[in-house]
Amino acid sequence: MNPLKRSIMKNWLLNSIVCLLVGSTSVAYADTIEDAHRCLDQADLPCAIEIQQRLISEQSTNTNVLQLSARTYFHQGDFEAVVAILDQLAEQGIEIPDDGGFPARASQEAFTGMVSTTGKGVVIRHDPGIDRVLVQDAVHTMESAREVFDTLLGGGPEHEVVLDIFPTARRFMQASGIPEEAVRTTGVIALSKWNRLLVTSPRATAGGYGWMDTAAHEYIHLVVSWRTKDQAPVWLQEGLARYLEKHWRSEHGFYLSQKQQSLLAGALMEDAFVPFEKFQRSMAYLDSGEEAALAYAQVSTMVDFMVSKAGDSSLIELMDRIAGGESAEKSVSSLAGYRSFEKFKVGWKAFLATLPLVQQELTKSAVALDGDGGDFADDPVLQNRTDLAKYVRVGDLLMTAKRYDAALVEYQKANVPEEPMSPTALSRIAECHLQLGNVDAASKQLVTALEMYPENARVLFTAANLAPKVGLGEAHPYWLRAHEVNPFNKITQQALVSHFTKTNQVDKMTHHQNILAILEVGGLYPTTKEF
Amino acid sequence: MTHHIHHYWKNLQRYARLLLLGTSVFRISSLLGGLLLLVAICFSYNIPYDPVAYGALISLMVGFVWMVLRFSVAWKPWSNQTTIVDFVETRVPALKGRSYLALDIDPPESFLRTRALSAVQHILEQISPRSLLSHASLKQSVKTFVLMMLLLGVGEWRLPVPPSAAFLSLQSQSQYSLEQAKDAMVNDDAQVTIGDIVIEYTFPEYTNMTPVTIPNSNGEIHAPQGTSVTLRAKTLERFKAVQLEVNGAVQPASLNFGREVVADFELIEEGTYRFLFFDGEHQLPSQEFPLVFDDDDPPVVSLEVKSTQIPSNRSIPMTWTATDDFGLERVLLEVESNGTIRQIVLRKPNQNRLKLGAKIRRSVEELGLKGGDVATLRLVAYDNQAPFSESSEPRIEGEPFGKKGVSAPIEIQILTPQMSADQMKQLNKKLRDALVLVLADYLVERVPTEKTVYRWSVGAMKRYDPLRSITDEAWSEGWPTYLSAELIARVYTDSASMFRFVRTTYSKDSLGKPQAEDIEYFQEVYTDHIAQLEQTIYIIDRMLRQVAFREVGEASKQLTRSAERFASMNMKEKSAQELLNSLSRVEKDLDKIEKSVEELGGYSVKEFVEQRKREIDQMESVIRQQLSEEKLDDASASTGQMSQSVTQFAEGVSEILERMKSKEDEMEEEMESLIEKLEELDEKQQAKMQELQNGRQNDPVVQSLVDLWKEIEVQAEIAKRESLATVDGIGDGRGFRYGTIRSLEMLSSEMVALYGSVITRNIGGVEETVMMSGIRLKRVENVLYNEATRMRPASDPRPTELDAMSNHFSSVVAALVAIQKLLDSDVLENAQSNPYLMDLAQKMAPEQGQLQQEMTGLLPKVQELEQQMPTATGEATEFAMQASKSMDEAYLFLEEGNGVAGESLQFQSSARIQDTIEALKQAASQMQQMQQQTEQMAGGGEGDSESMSSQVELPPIEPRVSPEEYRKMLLEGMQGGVPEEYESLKKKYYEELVAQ
Repeated sequence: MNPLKRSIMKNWLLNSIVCLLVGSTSVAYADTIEDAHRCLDQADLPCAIEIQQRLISEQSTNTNVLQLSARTYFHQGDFEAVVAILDQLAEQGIEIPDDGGFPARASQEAFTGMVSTTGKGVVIRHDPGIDRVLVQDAVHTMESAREVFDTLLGGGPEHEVVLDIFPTARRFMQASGIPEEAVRTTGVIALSKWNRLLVTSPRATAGGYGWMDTAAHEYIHLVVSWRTKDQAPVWLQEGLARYLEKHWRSEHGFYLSQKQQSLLAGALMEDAFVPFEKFQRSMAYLDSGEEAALAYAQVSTMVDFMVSKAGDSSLIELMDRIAGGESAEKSVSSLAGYRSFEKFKVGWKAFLATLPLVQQELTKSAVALDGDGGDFADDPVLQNRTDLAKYVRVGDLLMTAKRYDAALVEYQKANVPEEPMSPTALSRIAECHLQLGNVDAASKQLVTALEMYPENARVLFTAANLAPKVGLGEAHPYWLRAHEVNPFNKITQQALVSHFTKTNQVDKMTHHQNILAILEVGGLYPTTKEF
Repeated sequence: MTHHIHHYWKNLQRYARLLLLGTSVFRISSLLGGLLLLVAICFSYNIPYDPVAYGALISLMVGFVWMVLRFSVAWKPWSNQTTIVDFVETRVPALKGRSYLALDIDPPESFLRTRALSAVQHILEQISPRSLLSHASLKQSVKTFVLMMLLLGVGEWRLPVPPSAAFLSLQSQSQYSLEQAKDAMVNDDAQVTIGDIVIEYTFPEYTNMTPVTIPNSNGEIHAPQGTSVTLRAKTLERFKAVQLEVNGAVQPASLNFGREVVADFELIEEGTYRFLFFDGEHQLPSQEFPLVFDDDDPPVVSLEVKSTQIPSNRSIPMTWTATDDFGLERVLLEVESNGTIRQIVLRKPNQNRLKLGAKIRRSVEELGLKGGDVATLRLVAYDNQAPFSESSEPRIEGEPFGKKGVSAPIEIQILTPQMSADQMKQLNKKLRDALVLVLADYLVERVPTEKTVYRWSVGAMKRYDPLRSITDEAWSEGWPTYLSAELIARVYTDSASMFRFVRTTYSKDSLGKPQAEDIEYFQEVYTDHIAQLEQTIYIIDRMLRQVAFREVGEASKQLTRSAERFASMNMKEKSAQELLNSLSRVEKDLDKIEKSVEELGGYSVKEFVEQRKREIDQMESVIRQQLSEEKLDDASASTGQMSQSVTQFAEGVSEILERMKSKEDEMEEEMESLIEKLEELDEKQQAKMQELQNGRQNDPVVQSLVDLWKEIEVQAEIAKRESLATVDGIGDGRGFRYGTIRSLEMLSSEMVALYGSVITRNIGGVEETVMMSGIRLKRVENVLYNEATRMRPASDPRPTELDAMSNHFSSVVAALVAIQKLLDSDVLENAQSNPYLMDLAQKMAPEQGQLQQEMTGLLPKVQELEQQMPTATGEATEFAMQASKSMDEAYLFLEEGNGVAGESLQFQSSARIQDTIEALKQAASQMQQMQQQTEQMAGGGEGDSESMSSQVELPPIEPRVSPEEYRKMLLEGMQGGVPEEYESLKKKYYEELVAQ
């Protein structure tokens, strides 16, 4: 329980005792505060705002009301108002510490200088500098996500959804209340909390990341919380979010990453799944990152299995049932047509066997933030394997010396049998082959790299550069994918502008031109007029 | 009273004698003067020398005798006291004979006498002794003397041969002749021939040369300036006088017997000399002879400084030499810097030295320089003889006075730590790039085979030439001690070793045939060398990248300051030019970052830096544009944003650096902890091994087992020795078929292996070898029989050693039979199934299993650390895996109750754990070296330390011995006895050798 809530509860108990003594009016008043807090917990921000506004007009100095106001404003993301109330409370002797559960002052600091851009039902708050390149895509993503997921899940939050994009991991950490060490070890870079969505700019991560799907993923959490009155267990939350995160796109691919597919395939082959009981209550107690990744894969395929059995509409019913107090396991299994969750699991395993899972083992990349993580921060294989990174680096030096044949030998040494190959090494091998005139070999390597690392910026960049030369079609699909991962690359934007100009797609061309314009001034923004 | 009277007489006597002496002197002087005047008059009137000279001499003698006689006559009376009393009484009548009373000896006491003497005294007191004597003679002689002097003066003035010249002329006839010759004309047409010339040189002191006499000289004089020359020569004819003419100036010379010329002079200047002979009428010259200096040239000096860019913390190595033809007085090093010249005395020899030289080192401080200075060095040497033109100048005590020799100037630059760091960085880049090309050749070629390897080695050696030229140039004075140098030295050593192996084994000149093991060994070395090159390149490159990132960090801090300074400027008050200038500083700092970014490699860190830098760059361009368009408000706002971005960037870089550092620290801590755990594990493993050994010693059956092994060992040694002897019998291979040689070599190889198994008490190995040896023995028996009996052409005679070889072979067979019998004995069986040992082993098995578990637990950590450490080679992981495997096998043997095998494996496990620790320590040590060198290259360290290991040279090729042969030789050599205290060491080494 966070300190604000703890403090509120303590005061509420005291007030309740007083109320019992003085009469029923106070009881009603206490109930109302409790209702407001419940609204906030159940992602019903408008409800909380309404109660808070009413109470504040009546009891503007009441500490419980003030605390409720602080919490409500915090959920709304109005940190100046929150800090003002906290100061007022402090004057009255109530100190509410700034900690992970309620990082009000830290959030205010993290938001210094940030500006907002509004869309249909969404507010994007971001740094006014170079991160403006994200804004248009962020608005589009959130508008699409609202439209798609609200429909799929039977409704969404009635307030404007706030998406906060933090320019650095440090500011994300400040605002999220997650300790730095935890962020760096777990790689959490986005969060759905306090009725807001908090994400780190792809510019702050090594090589970027699929930040739009991540934002959509976080929005799904918000919708599920709202729809189930925050009754959905974590496993179902994650299962739904993972399964649906790409559905906001017109063409959404497979929801499992290569890594998850390989883990799942392995587990299926050896019947070595993570026991459901181990993560039924919380995903936090899993033994390792690998186990967590497998668990996420398991839950998302369970949702997939349910939807495949009961159709998309079952998602709405699932939300309703859970909101109604039914257990997630029971709801999921009955919707899928099984009498028990055990039987559901048997069916689910059979379903897994039908999925086209990639068997190749892959290493999960640890997220590197703010330039951290060393030279190969964006390479899941090399980032902790200096022994292999050595070959890649020496290969690069050979490439610089135009000794492509020798470089090729060196890159191939970075391929350890039984272990996944590094995306950097794969990209470089493709480049070497091309330099040596081995087009087919280059193409093969590139295809492998793209299959294994579809979101790796380096692989996408290489693919975009080499695709036309090695017979992998046009470059622009790869430029587009590279843009989604890391839109801060000027070359990517120039290539896209050029492509859309050629193909006369004016809207898209303008979009990328705008991004390019921001990049070309280093993100400078006018300050003389309101942004 | 009488003594007063006596005193008076004494005074009188003294004064009288003085007058006499004075008078005599003046008279003699007058006589001499008169004679000299007379001679002068005679010479002036050309009266011949002899009558004048002899006349003068006789006159002088007569006059002198007369004078002496007169003097004696006058002197004598003044010696008698009575005569003096008489003289006084005569001159003073008032004394009336009373003064005689004073002459009485021992007179009686008398009043009258006393009164008389008193009166005498009184009277004498009234009269001065001088007044009693006449001065007329003295006055007369003085007058005569004065007159004579006047006459001499007139003669000197007026006479053609003045008295002074006449006096000189009187000394010798030649002098007279010279005087006569003064006015004589020099007749250049007539030339006097001189011969038998002898020249004596007495050299100046500074040359420290002993005098030299040149007989039969041609007359030419060659000597250093200042040399004293004595000339002796002879003429055919006689002459009256001779003079020496040196460069036109006439000097006296001696002429003896009218023919022998002797002359001395000092060689002051070059030119000519000749003699002028006087025949009484004319002066006749001799031929002219040259006067030539044997030049005392200024010293010749040289100074060599190999490196002209010297780090400020290093000394400057210099080689200098100075030579002079006659001697060096001092040698100085002249350092000219910032308009001032500083002189440092290098040598000031006490003894005369013609040549000096040394290799020296002088610290930058000693030369009065500091980092950043540019100085000109010159070596200056002074010889020990001042130039003659300056010799008249007064010398300043302690200052050099000789001629000066100066070397060619050498300009040096003293590098600041930053400059040294840059130099070191550039060098490392060159080394890395050169190594990359070496590696490239290895990677793309086919691995050489037995057939191609020799030819390959010839070309492959040249791959290192560019690298070697870099190291030769950079480290000619000695190799530094930092990591790059150490790694490259290893590359050289290992490659040299590889090439030497190839040349030694596969050269046409090699004796013996390369073995299959040799090419396997080569290929192993070849692969290892490639790995070594990769590792070296990677480490050097990694250091360069780390340095580059640090530079980015430094530059970003500077950029922050520049950006803040720019942002704090009031744009409305400053001129556009001022603003643009200030902005240029920002641009400059960005350029610094740009430079460093290149070295970061094309990875995440580079992308991070590059992206931020690009953004700031673009902001700067926009601001520049806004300033040029005079949009000052916009520029001001943009500047604020840029400043903010720069600060964020600098903070980001700084954080990354901190995290990199903390990660390295963390790795170091993990390493220490891991090593500690491994050491503990090793201790435990050794304790278990000791436990088994102790148990074995307590075993009642052990003695018989020990005896049995000893007997087996003796037989195995015989088998080995005899088998090697059969191989020796092959000699150079003539007379034997290849199959025979091969079979004998195989046999000896097996026997060596057998011996190895015996001394390691590997019963399995012994049994297997003995069992399998039957076929081998049969084969050898057959081939030896064939060699003995086969038909041979005359060109292929039967080897003489064949019978001896057969005997050796029989000994091998006998030894193996003996071993087999020993193996069949009950002792071994009993010992192996000894319940005591079995029980001990089985009881230990769970603990051994526990140790193995511990090792297995540590294995992933070893692997993980090695994977993360740039300096690791993977060796530690391999050793750890081997240790784990040995421990597991030890556990299995112990579980079966086989203590002997278990103990052997425990020993191996312990050795491998120690190897693991060693490999980890090695990697950790290199990590530290890396950090130190990175510090140095970043300009934060102490700079390149003084050298140095010696230069790495390719070792010479060792003829005729391939490693396999060498191993055999070594094994044979080890059969010799060693002192008891080295027995265990020998055994251990032998075991290791056999195990290879």
